[in-house]
Amino acid sequence: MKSTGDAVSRLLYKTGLPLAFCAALILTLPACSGGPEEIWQPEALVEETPVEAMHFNESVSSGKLTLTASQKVVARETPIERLTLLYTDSHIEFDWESFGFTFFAILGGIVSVGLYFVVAYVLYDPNKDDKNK
Amino acid sequence: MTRTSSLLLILLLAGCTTRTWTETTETTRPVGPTTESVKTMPVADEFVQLRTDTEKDSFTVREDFTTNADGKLEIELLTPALQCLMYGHDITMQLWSYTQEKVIYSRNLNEADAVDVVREWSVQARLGTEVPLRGRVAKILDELIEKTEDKAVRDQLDAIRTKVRIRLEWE
Repeated sequence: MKSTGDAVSRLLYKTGLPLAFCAALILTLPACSGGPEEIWQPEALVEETPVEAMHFNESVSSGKLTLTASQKVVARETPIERLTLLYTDSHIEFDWESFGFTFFAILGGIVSVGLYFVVAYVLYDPNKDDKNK
Repeated sequence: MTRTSSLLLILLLAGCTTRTWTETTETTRPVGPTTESVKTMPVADEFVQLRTDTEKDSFTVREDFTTNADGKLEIELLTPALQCLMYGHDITMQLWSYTQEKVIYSRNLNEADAVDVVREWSVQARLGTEVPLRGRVAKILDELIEKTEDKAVRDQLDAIRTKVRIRLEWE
Protein backbone atom coordinates (compact mmCIF):
# COMPACT_ATOMS: atom_id res chain seq x y z
CA MET A 1 0.00 0.00 0.00
CA LYS A 2 2.82 2.29 0.93
CA SER A 3 4.55 1.81 -2.40
CA THR A 4 1.30 2.56 -4.32
CA GLY A 5 0.77 5.74 -2.28
CA ASP A 6 4.32 6.84 -2.93
CA ALA A 7 3.89 6.20 -6.66
CA VAL A 8 0.69 8.26 -6.81
CA SER A 9 2.29 11.04 -4.79
CA ARG A 10 5.31 11.08 -7.12
CA LEU A 11 3.03 11.05 -10.20
CA LEU A 12 1.02 13.99 -8.87
CA TYR A 13 4.20 15.90 -8.05
CA LYS A 14 5.69 15.21 -11.48
CA THR A 15 2.60 16.13 -13.49
CA GLY A 16 1.25 18.90 -11.23
CA LEU A 17 4.29 21.11 -11.48
CA PRO A 18 4.49 21.17 -15.32
CA LEU A 19 0.72 21.77 -15.44
CA ALA A 20 1.09 24.70 -13.02
CA PHE A 21 3.93 25.98 -15.20
CA CYS A 22 1.64 25.85 -18.28
CA ALA A 23 -1.11 27.63 -16.34
CA ALA A 24 1.34 30.38 -15.40
CA LEU A 25 2.34 30.77 -19.05
CA ILE A 26 -1.30 31.00 -20.13
CA LEU A 27 -2.01 33.56 -17.42
CA THR A 28 1.00 35.75 -18.18
CA LEU A 29 0.82 35.61 -21.98
CA PRO A 30 -2.91 35.91 -22.66
CA ALA A 31 -2.81 37.48 -26.11
CA CYS A 32 0.37 36.32 -27.76
CA SER A 33 -1.47 34.18 -30.24
CA GLY A 34 -3.97 35.27 -32.89
CA GLY A 35 -3.84 37.89 -35.64
CA PRO A 36 -5.18 41.45 -35.65
CA GLU A 37 -8.86 42.06 -35.07
CA GLU A 38 -10.74 43.51 -38.06
CA ILE A 39 -13.03 46.48 -37.36
CA TRP A 40 -15.17 48.22 -39.99
CA GLN A 41 -15.55 51.89 -39.09
CA PRO A 42 -18.27 54.01 -40.74
CA GLU A 43 -17.31 57.20 -42.57
CA ALA A 44 -18.60 59.32 -45.43
CA LEU A 45 -16.84 59.68 -48.74
CA VAL A 46 -17.54 63.24 -49.92
CA GLU A 47 -16.66 64.48 -53.37
CA GLU A 48 -17.22 68.20 -54.05
CA THR A 49 -17.25 69.69 -57.54
CA PRO A 50 -17.52 73.49 -57.89
CA VAL A 51 -20.30 74.53 -60.24
CA GLU A 52 -19.92 78.30 -59.99
CA ALA A 53 -17.13 80.82 -59.58
CA MET A 54 -16.11 81.93 -56.10
CA HIS A 55 -18.37 84.59 -54.60
CA PHE A 56 -17.38 87.19 -51.99
CA ASN A 57 -19.64 88.73 -49.37
CA GLU A 58 -18.12 92.02 -48.26
CA SER A 59 -18.54 94.22 -45.23
CA VAL A 60 -16.57 97.30 -44.19
CA SER A 61 -16.23 98.38 -40.57
CA SER A 62 -13.56 100.15 -38.51
CA GLY A 63 -11.44 100.75 -41.61
CA LYS A 64 -11.25 97.05 -42.37
CA LEU A 65 -12.73 95.12 -45.25
CA THR A 66 -14.01 91.67 -44.34
CA LEU A 67 -14.51 89.28 -47.22
CA THR A 68 -16.22 85.91 -46.94
CA ALA A 69 -15.50 83.57 -49.83
CA SER A 70 -18.08 80.96 -50.72
CA GLN A 71 -18.74 78.74 -53.69
CA LYS A 72 -21.65 76.64 -54.93
CA VAL A 73 -20.60 72.97 -55.17
CA VAL A 74 -22.20 69.67 -56.05
CA ALA A 75 -21.52 67.32 -53.13
CA ARG A 76 -21.63 63.57 -53.79
CA GLU A 77 -21.77 61.72 -50.49
CA THR A 78 -21.39 57.95 -50.20
CA PRO A 79 -21.59 56.23 -46.80
CA ILE A 80 -18.75 53.71 -46.56
CA GLU A 81 -16.99 51.57 -43.99
CA ARG A 82 -13.21 51.53 -43.68
CA LEU A 83 -11.27 48.49 -42.52
CA THR A 84 -9.25 49.16 -39.38
CA LEU A 85 -6.94 46.57 -37.89
CA LEU A 86 -6.70 46.35 -34.11
CA TYR A 87 -3.42 44.85 -32.90
CA THR A 88 -2.82 43.62 -29.36
CA ASP A 89 0.63 42.61 -28.19
CA SER A 90 1.34 41.14 -24.75
CA HIS A 91 4.69 40.36 -23.24
CA ILE A 92 6.23 39.70 -19.86
CA GLU A 93 7.78 42.77 -18.37
CA PHE A 94 9.76 42.08 -15.24
CA ASP A 95 10.50 44.92 -12.88
CA TRP A 96 10.99 44.92 -9.15
CA GLU A 97 8.07 47.28 -8.59
CA SER A 98 5.46 44.96 -10.14
CA PHE A 99 7.20 41.94 -8.61
CA GLY A 100 7.02 43.49 -5.14
CA PHE A 101 3.44 44.64 -5.66
CA THR A 102 2.26 41.16 -6.71
CA PHE A 103 4.33 39.44 -4.01
CA PHE A 104 2.91 41.57 -1.21
CA ALA A 105 -0.60 41.33 -2.66
CA ILE A 106 -0.39 37.52 -2.48
CA LEU A 107 1.21 37.71 0.96
CA GLY A 108 -1.52 40.07 2.13
CA GLY A 109 -4.17 37.66 0.83
CA ILE A 110 -2.60 34.73 2.68
CA VAL A 111 -2.30 36.77 5.90
CA SER A 112 -5.96 37.91 5.60
CA VAL A 113 -7.24 34.36 5.17
CA GLY A 114 -4.96 33.21 8.00
CA LEU A 115 -6.23 35.95 10.28
CA TYR A 116 -9.79 34.96 9.49
CA PHE A 117 -9.14 31.40 10.62
CA VAL A 118 -7.20 32.58 13.69
CA VAL A 119 -10.12 34.83 14.71
CA ALA A 120 -12.80 32.27 13.80
CA TYR A 121 -11.29 29.18 15.35
CA VAL A 122 -8.77 30.37 17.97
CA LEU A 123 -9.73 33.76 19.40
CA TYR A 124 -13.50 33.64 19.02
CA ASP A 125 -15.23 31.63 21.68
CA PRO A 126 -18.80 30.72 20.65
CA ASN A 127 -19.73 29.90 24.25
CA LYS A 128 -18.76 33.39 25.47
CA ASP A 129 -22.16 34.90 24.67
CA ASP A 130 -23.91 32.00 26.36
CA LYS A 131 -21.82 32.56 29.50
CA ASN A 132 -22.91 36.22 29.65
CA LYS A 133 -26.50 35.10 29.54
CA MET B 1 12.68 21.05 -9.30
CA THR B 2 13.86 24.07 -7.32
CA ARG B 3 14.81 25.79 -10.59
CA THR B 4 11.41 25.05 -12.17
CA SER B 5 9.58 26.26 -9.06
CA SER B 6 11.62 29.49 -9.06
CA LEU B 7 10.84 30.09 -12.73
CA LEU B 8 7.14 29.46 -12.10
CA LEU B 9 7.17 31.86 -9.15
CA ILE B 10 8.89 34.56 -11.22
CA LEU B 11 6.41 34.11 -14.08
CA LEU B 12 3.48 34.44 -11.71
CA LEU B 13 4.91 37.44 -9.93
CA ALA B 14 6.28 39.31 -12.93
CA GLY B 15 2.97 40.07 -14.65
CA CYS B 16 2.51 40.96 -18.28
CA THR B 17 2.12 44.18 -20.26
CA THR B 18 -0.44 44.62 -23.04
CA ARG B 19 -0.04 47.12 -25.86
CA THR B 20 -2.90 47.89 -28.27
CA TRP B 21 -2.80 49.93 -31.45
CA THR B 22 -4.93 50.38 -34.56
CA GLU B 23 -3.92 50.65 -38.18
CA THR B 24 -6.22 52.30 -40.73
CA THR B 25 -6.19 50.59 -44.12
CA GLU B 26 -7.16 51.75 -47.59
CA THR B 27 -9.78 48.99 -47.85
CA THR B 28 -13.33 50.37 -47.89
CA ARG B 29 -16.79 49.05 -48.74
CA PRO B 30 -19.92 51.05 -49.64
CA VAL B 31 -22.80 50.62 -47.23
CA GLY B 32 -25.44 52.84 -48.81
CA PRO B 33 -26.44 54.69 -51.96
CA THR B 34 -24.66 57.85 -53.13
CA THR B 35 -26.60 61.05 -52.53
CA GLU B 36 -26.05 64.22 -54.54
CA SER B 37 -26.80 67.73 -53.32
CA VAL B 38 -25.95 71.32 -54.27
CA LYS B 39 -24.48 73.32 -51.40
CA THR B 40 -22.89 76.70 -50.87
CA MET B 41 -19.64 76.01 -49.08
CA PRO B 42 -17.09 78.43 -47.58
CA VAL B 43 -13.80 78.45 -49.49
CA ALA B 44 -11.16 77.69 -46.87
CA ASP B 45 -7.36 77.99 -47.24
CA GLU B 46 -7.55 80.02 -50.43
CA PHE B 47 -4.15 81.71 -50.83
CA VAL B 48 -4.57 85.19 -52.32
CA GLN B 49 -2.57 88.38 -52.79
CA LEU B 50 -3.99 91.89 -52.40
CA ARG B 51 -2.73 94.15 -55.18
CA THR B 52 -3.30 97.84 -55.77
CA ASP B 53 -2.38 100.09 -58.71
CA THR B 54 1.33 100.66 -59.25
CA GLU B 55 2.29 104.33 -58.96
CA LYS B 56 4.89 106.18 -61.05
CA ASP B 57 7.40 105.96 -58.18
CA SER B 58 6.74 102.14 -58.12
CA PHE B 59 4.67 102.27 -54.91
CA THR B 60 2.07 99.51 -54.74
CA VAL B 61 0.50 97.27 -52.14
CA ARG B 62 1.28 93.53 -52.20
CA GLU B 63 -0.04 91.59 -49.20
CA ASP B 64 -0.67 87.86 -48.93
CA PHE B 65 -3.77 86.45 -47.22
CA THR B 66 -5.29 83.04 -46.63
CA THR B 67 -8.99 82.48 -46.03
CA ASN B 68 -9.82 80.78 -42.73
CA ALA B 69 -12.06 77.71 -42.23
CA ASP B 70 -15.16 79.92 -42.65
CA GLY B 71 -13.77 81.41 -45.87
CA LYS B 72 -13.12 84.78 -44.18
CA LEU B 73 -10.24 87.19 -44.62
CA GLU B 74 -9.77 90.67 -43.21
CA ILE B 75 -8.01 93.45 -45.13
CA GLU B 76 -6.88 96.67 -43.47
CA LEU B 77 -7.90 99.53 -45.74
CA LEU B 78 -5.58 102.16 -44.28
CA THR B 79 -2.69 101.59 -46.71
CA PRO B 80 -4.89 101.74 -49.86
CA ALA B 81 -6.63 104.80 -48.36
CA LEU B 82 -3.29 106.56 -47.78
CA GLN B 83 -2.25 105.64 -51.33
CA CYS B 84 -5.50 107.13 -52.62
CA LEU B 85 -5.04 110.41 -50.72
CA MET B 86 -1.32 110.67 -51.51
CA TYR B 87 -1.52 110.06 -55.26
CA GLY B 88 -4.92 111.71 -55.72
CA HIS B 89 -6.82 109.08 -57.69
CA ASP B 90 -9.18 106.14 -57.11
CA ILE B 91 -7.44 102.93 -56.14
CA THR B 92 -8.41 99.54 -57.52
CA MET B 93 -7.86 96.74 -55.04
CA GLN B 94 -7.63 93.28 -56.54
CA LEU B 95 -7.33 89.82 -55.02
CA TRP B 96 -5.06 87.58 -57.07
CA SER B 97 -5.61 83.84 -56.47
CA TYR B 98 -2.42 81.80 -56.42
CA THR B 99 -4.35 78.57 -57.07
CA GLN B 100 -6.49 79.86 -59.95
CA GLU B 101 -3.81 82.28 -61.20
CA LYS B 102 -6.30 85.04 -61.90
CA VAL B 103 -7.98 88.02 -60.25
CA ILE B 104 -10.97 86.73 -58.28
CA TYR B 105 -12.15 89.95 -56.63
CA SER B 106 -11.93 93.63 -57.38
CA ARG B 107 -13.07 96.77 -55.54
CA ASN B 108 -12.58 100.48 -56.02
CA LEU B 109 -11.66 102.90 -53.27
CA ASN B 110 -12.37 106.57 -53.98
CA GLU B 111 -11.35 109.70 -52.06
CA ALA B 112 -14.55 109.82 -49.97
CA ASP B 113 -14.02 106.16 -48.93
CA ALA B 114 -10.37 106.94 -48.12
CA VAL B 115 -11.33 109.87 -45.87
CA ASP B 116 -13.84 107.60 -44.07
CA VAL B 117 -11.16 104.94 -43.56
CA VAL B 118 -8.70 107.52 -42.16
CA ARG B 119 -11.37 108.85 -39.79
CA GLU B 120 -12.18 105.36 -38.50
CA TRP B 121 -8.49 104.51 -38.01
CA SER B 122 -7.91 107.81 -36.19
CA VAL B 123 -10.73 106.98 -33.77
CA GLN B 124 -9.13 103.59 -33.12
CA ALA B 125 -5.71 105.25 -32.67
CA ARG B 126 -7.11 107.76 -30.18
CA LEU B 127 -8.56 104.82 -28.24
CA GLY B 128 -5.03 103.39 -28.03
CA THR B 129 -5.00 100.86 -30.88
CA GLU B 130 -1.60 100.31 -32.49
CA VAL B 131 -1.42 101.04 -36.23
CA PRO B 132 0.94 98.61 -37.96
CA LEU B 133 2.37 100.06 -41.20
CA ARG B 134 5.24 99.21 -43.52
CA GLY B 135 8.19 101.67 -43.46
CA ARG B 136 7.36 103.00 -46.91
CA VAL B 137 3.70 103.58 -45.96
CA ALA B 138 4.76 105.38 -42.76
CA LYS B 139 6.82 107.77 -44.95
CA ILE B 140 3.76 108.36 -47.14
CA LEU B 141 1.78 109.13 -43.98
CA ASP B 142 4.41 111.73 -42.95
CA GLU B 143 4.36 113.33 -46.40
CA LEU B 144 0.57 113.35 -46.36
CA ILE B 145 0.48 115.13 -42.97
CA GLU B 146 2.67 117.92 -44.44
CA LYS B 147 0.75 118.04 -47.71
CA THR B 148 -2.88 117.90 -46.49
CA GLU B 149 -4.61 121.24 -46.24
CA ASP B 150 -7.85 119.99 -44.64
CA LYS B 151 -7.24 120.49 -40.90
CA ALA B 152 -9.67 117.79 -39.76
CA VAL B 153 -8.03 115.16 -41.98
CA ARG B 154 -4.54 116.34 -40.93
CA ASP B 155 -5.47 115.96 -37.23
CA GLN B 156 -6.76 112.47 -37.93
CA LEU B 157 -3.54 111.58 -39.77
CA ASP B 158 -1.56 113.01 -36.83
CA ALA B 159 -3.53 110.84 -34.39
CA ILE B 160 -2.73 107.79 -36.52
CA ARG B 161 0.98 108.80 -36.72
CA THR B 162 1.35 108.72 -32.93
CA LYS B 163 0.27 105.09 -32.83
CA VAL B 164 2.23 103.79 -35.82
CA ARG B 165 4.29 100.65 -35.36
CA ILE B 166 6.60 99.75 -38.21
CA ARG B 167 5.78 96.29 -39.50
CA LEU B 168 8.76 94.02 -39.96
CA GLU B 169 9.50 92.43 -43.32
CA TRP B 170 8.19 88.98 -42.31
CA GLU B 171 4.95 90.29 -40.77
